[in-house]
Amino acid sequence: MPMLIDPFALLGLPRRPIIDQDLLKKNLRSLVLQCHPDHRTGDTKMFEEIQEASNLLRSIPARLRNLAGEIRITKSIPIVAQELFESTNKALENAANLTSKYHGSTLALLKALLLKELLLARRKLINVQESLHHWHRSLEEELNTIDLRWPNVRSEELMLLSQSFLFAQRWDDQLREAILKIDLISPKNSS
Amino acid sequence: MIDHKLNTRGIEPQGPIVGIDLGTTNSLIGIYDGGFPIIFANSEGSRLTPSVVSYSEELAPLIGHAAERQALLYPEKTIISVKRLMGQRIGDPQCAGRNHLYGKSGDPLKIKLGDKLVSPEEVSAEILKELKRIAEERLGVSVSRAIITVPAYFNDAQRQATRRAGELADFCVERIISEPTAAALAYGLDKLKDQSKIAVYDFGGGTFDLSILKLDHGLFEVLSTCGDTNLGGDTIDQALMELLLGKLVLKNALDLKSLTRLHQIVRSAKEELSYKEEIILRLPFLHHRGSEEVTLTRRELEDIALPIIERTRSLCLRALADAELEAQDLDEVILVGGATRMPIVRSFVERLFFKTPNLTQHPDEAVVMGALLQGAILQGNLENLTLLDITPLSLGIETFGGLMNVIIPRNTTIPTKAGELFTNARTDQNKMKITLLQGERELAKDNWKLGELELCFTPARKGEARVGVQFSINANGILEVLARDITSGEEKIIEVAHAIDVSDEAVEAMISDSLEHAFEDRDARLFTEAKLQAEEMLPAVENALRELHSLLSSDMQNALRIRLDDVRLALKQEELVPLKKSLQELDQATQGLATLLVEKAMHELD
Repeated sequence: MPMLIDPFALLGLPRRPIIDQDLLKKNLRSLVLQCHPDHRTGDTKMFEEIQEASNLLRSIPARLRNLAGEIRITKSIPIVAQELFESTNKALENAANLTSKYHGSTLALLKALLLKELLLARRKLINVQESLHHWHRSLEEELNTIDLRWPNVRSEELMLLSQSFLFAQRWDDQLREAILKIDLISPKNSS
Repeated sequence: MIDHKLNTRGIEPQGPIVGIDLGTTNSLIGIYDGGFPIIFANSEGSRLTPSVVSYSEELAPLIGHAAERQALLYPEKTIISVKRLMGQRIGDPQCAGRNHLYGKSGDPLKIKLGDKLVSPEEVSAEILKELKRIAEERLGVSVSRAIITVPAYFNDAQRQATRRAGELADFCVERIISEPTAAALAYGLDKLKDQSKIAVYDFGGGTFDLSILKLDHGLFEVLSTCGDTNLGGDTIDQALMELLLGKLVLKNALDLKSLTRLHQIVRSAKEELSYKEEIILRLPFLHHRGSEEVTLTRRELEDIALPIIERTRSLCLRALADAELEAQDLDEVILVGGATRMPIVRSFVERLFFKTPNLTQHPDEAVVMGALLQGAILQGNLENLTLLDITPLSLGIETFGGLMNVIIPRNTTIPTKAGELFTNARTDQNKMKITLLQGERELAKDNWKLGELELCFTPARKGEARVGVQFSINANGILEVLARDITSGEEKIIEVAHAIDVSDEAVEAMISDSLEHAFEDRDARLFTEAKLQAEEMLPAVENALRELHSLLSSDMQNALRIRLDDVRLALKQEELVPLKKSLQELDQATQGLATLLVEKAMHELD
């Protein structure tokens, strides 16, 4: 069910691409203290609305989608990111394979050999992560220009940017997760 | 599956709210009264009531110390650590190694006591009734409202079971809260003006949790949590028990009674070794052949405990990563739970977080203290305190291809809700089944299946019937589902069919199926597995020998070659037992080689 209430209005923020994070935090805090179900002034329904609205506003893709007036997420990868998508996928797949192989193996020597490959895979992940961050920075610049032009922005532009952010963040999450999984194995982390 | 309104407005239950720590080994009850927290002592003068229930045919069940004593006489009628079984189904890992469990695979389990069957909820309810009695005796009024704590990492089924136990004990359960969060409340009560980030390392009798919180002028916000509901002090007890059994002269002469007695002895030995370097256990008349005397040292205990404690490492690192923090960002690491009394746990935490752990909280009492404070908050007696808790596990649904699609990610502040829109795939489709999951794994089958729900579509062309489903997780961490037909505007609360409502025949078919194939396949499968391992291992060892040639003595190289030949021979014989044995020996022999390889790899990559 899409949100029916304007999340910007609910948290007392102007409706535009870039929001004042400090103001969001400040307003959220006072609303939370007021509506928390544990208190006498509590209102569970309102509390949930506030949480949902603040989750939406904090996520750039969701915020832009809301501004564009779209409910549905279309799941095609922006053309500029095709190559990045492929290298991310390759690095992730390789790391996942090695990680599960490592956990599946019971023999110390095979584990030791896999560890070397895992550390190499980690390097690749870091490299891809760097190019991803590069792309993310360019998206942020685009967000800035859109915000400057606001409200003279077409909803297709908002949707394309929303999708790009969505993929950039999802891949970044996946890369971070894969790196963490290797770090949890690596002896650098044990005493 | 639906969390019914515990406390419908209008007929609001009256009276004080007590806080209860329903622990794996011990339980406590207390109240916030006139500005002071009080933890009640039981009739034996102890604030800790052992979570032990002993049933008898004629009398009401015995609880606590009395039940512990009874356990020595009637171990088959006494239940310990029932918390581990809450919300579990037969076949779940927590059931491993437990006696007298009863039920078919996939069923909610029952505990068999003679010819009687009881559920874990009923056993827990007996403990809760006893706590209630203690509180009522001390307060002189009847008590009907309670806050009950659960491990942060408890899933929906485990929380529901806990709430049902409360209801069976005639409590109106006002709130289920997480144990580490409760401990943080206790810690932060006198720091309402502060701003800090803390971690609570909660290593209890049966469960481990690590929670990271932000304290900001009375607002307690949980940022992340991670844990293992099957890792605790009694995991160490079991390992120590093994060690002790190995030291006994006549371990085969032990029966269930002497094992029960040993179990209690092991626990106190573990506690004693926290402040003594060595103890001598004298065990008079342990078995019919006489007495035994055994020496245990702290060193021995630590050797077996360390690998268990190490298992908390990755959970702590995961929680830090989820909170987007480094260990150095934390202001305090607070230890709670009985197992944190062990010096080795303290030094482990210190190494992991680069910080001397904070020992200001009473390891056994901090959780109940937080629970009673939460009671005071709900009664409006502590208005400058607000707790923002989170859901520990991601909630999702199964999508095509057996994948898990996350709807509410882990570590989301609760209460919370999220919606999803479903539409018909064919014109004649009038129903749709959705499988609800909880967990962090990508494949649906690896996660905990909460249950199924069925959506009904009003007749419409393909893609035009729309049902919005709202999933909410309430302040107790329990799921509620609401469906709204977008076309008609009709709203309806959906009962989630319990995951175990599979027909008996289906379950039996599943079991007999797996049993039939189990024996014929087993040996062949094991041999193939071992063969694959061997085929991978042989060239790997050869390569390692070549690579590390200069670092190995010729004796060592020869010894390894003999092991390799053994494996090759066993492969030719196509026999499982010799192949497994030779592989094991090769694994043993190559441990040093493996260490060298790791060191080399780390060196090369730095």
